[in-house]
Amino acid sequence: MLNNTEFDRKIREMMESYQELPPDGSWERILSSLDRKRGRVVYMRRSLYAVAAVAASILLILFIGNPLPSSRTTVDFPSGRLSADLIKPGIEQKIEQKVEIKDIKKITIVSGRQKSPLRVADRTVVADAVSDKSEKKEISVTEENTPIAHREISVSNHEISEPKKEVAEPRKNVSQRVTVKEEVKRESSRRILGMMEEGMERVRDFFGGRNITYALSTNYTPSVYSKSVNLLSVSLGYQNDLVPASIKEYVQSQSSTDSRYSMPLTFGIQGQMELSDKISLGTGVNYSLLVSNYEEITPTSRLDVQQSLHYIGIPLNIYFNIFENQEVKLYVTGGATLEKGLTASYRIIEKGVKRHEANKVPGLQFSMGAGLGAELKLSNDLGLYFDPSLAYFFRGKQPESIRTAQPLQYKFELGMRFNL
Amino acid sequence: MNTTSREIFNEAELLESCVKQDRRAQKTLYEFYAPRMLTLCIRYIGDRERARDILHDGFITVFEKIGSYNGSGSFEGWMRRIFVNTALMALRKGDILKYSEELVTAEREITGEQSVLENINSRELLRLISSMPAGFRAVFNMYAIEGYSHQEIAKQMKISEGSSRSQLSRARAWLQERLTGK
Repeated sequence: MLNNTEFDRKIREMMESYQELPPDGSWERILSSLDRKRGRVVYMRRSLYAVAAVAASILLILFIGNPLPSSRTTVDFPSGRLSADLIKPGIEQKIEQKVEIKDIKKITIVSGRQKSPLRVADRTVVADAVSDKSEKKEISVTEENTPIAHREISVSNHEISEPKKEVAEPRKNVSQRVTVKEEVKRESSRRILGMMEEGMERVRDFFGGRNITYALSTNYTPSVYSKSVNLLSVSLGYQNDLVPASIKEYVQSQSSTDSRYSMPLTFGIQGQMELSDKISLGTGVNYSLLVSNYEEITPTSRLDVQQSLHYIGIPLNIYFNIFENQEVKLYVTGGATLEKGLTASYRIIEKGVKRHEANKVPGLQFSMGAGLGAELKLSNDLGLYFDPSLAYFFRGKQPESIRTAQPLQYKFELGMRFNL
Repeated sequence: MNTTSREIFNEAELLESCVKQDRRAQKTLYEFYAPRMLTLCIRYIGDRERARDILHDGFITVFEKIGSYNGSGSFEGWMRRIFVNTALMALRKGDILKYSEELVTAEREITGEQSVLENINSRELLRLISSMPAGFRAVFNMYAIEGYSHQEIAKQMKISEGSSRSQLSRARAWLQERLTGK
């Protein structure tokens, strides 16, 4: 007689001993679904990286390039909003002609003879940079007829508004409002800005007065090698000799397998000089990172190896404008890059134990490329550009990487350009 | 040695490679477990065509979630739970599990002879189980074959423990009837 437990046990045993074979094509169906899902993930990652590239470039502008002091903002002063009893016709006329402001949140214009004066009619005014805690851009214009009382008007949101007040006090009272410390800071700022202007002027002179543009770029090279594309662990490939010499000495491998190449990343800075209206020449310096993963298999063990190649390179590119208006510029580009491998670092995991090694990278990596480019002009001196291109990497004596596995690659370069 | 003839040394390495989305490792895993998992799917779903769909969906989930397997318990057990959940979800979608009427009668002991199971082979038993009414087929599979407790079944199927017990009892009775009448 069987009780419930025995009955269940017997059925369990019978069922566990039986296996139904899946029909042909089941695995292919699963594989296809997995590939589709991976494709979606890659698309999302790629979009994320593109956004990150733009964000990184903008951050670079803000924290490294600090190009904004050189960018100029032109403010139109609508004369109709000026108070007639405060702004005399001569002043009004001059202000209408546009005042150039360099990265100034608040400007005090004081009549009287000062350093770096802006001349308004027969009076002299001084533009003085004052940081304002409020976000609103404010320009205050103080008119003074020495030694009589000076009057102050304010300009908010690029418009001159009603006068705030009329103060009948000598100029020295105004100066008392500014602490000595602030004055010293301003003086330092003026000196630094002056030195920067002077430096840029020298650079321009050196290049015969030609326009110079510099660019911060982020370069992605998605691989199409061997069927799969993945931004982080890309491209299955089959090849040998990826193994660094030090590891080969350590263990006589039988094969290295399942090489996966991550997407190469390049960051750089480049100067671009106009040779004519249409043609310009660019060069600079860039850094590239190439990461590969593979397994090294022997009869007794298996090593998981991650190889990271670090390159520093000098690109030389020529740009030919094919279309340009106030918002956008389209161009074709071609050039070559010479790179020197700084180091090849290896992270090796064997039986759960991780260790690191590093080798020198011999020789030079030479590549040539050509492509199209588009630049969106954000202001007169600032542009966001996107250069898709094709590049061919000559092997030389370089270690195995995505560049040796797939010498012809397409690249996407994103960056920002600034006019000096 | 060519890459195509690469050997996976043990389950840990196989799983590690699957986490890295190594397609060949995934295929090895599939080839090893697919027959067992398809049998499980047929037991729960009944219909072979639909069971193959569950097999597909289950493996997709396994490959997506394999990184979350922490090594506690057997991997096959972890995998079985994924397939059981996938099958139950499919049954739930078809409202098949709504049938959970409690039996008034208490749980009955099987009184059959041992020989009733000796006269049937595994394939025929599978066909018999898969032809059980869906409501108590799931409970029977979970309790008698997968080893879930009534508490776990109740939680998983959103029924009371009493329902789980009564459906198990009905399933046994139903099966015994078919076995003795065979």
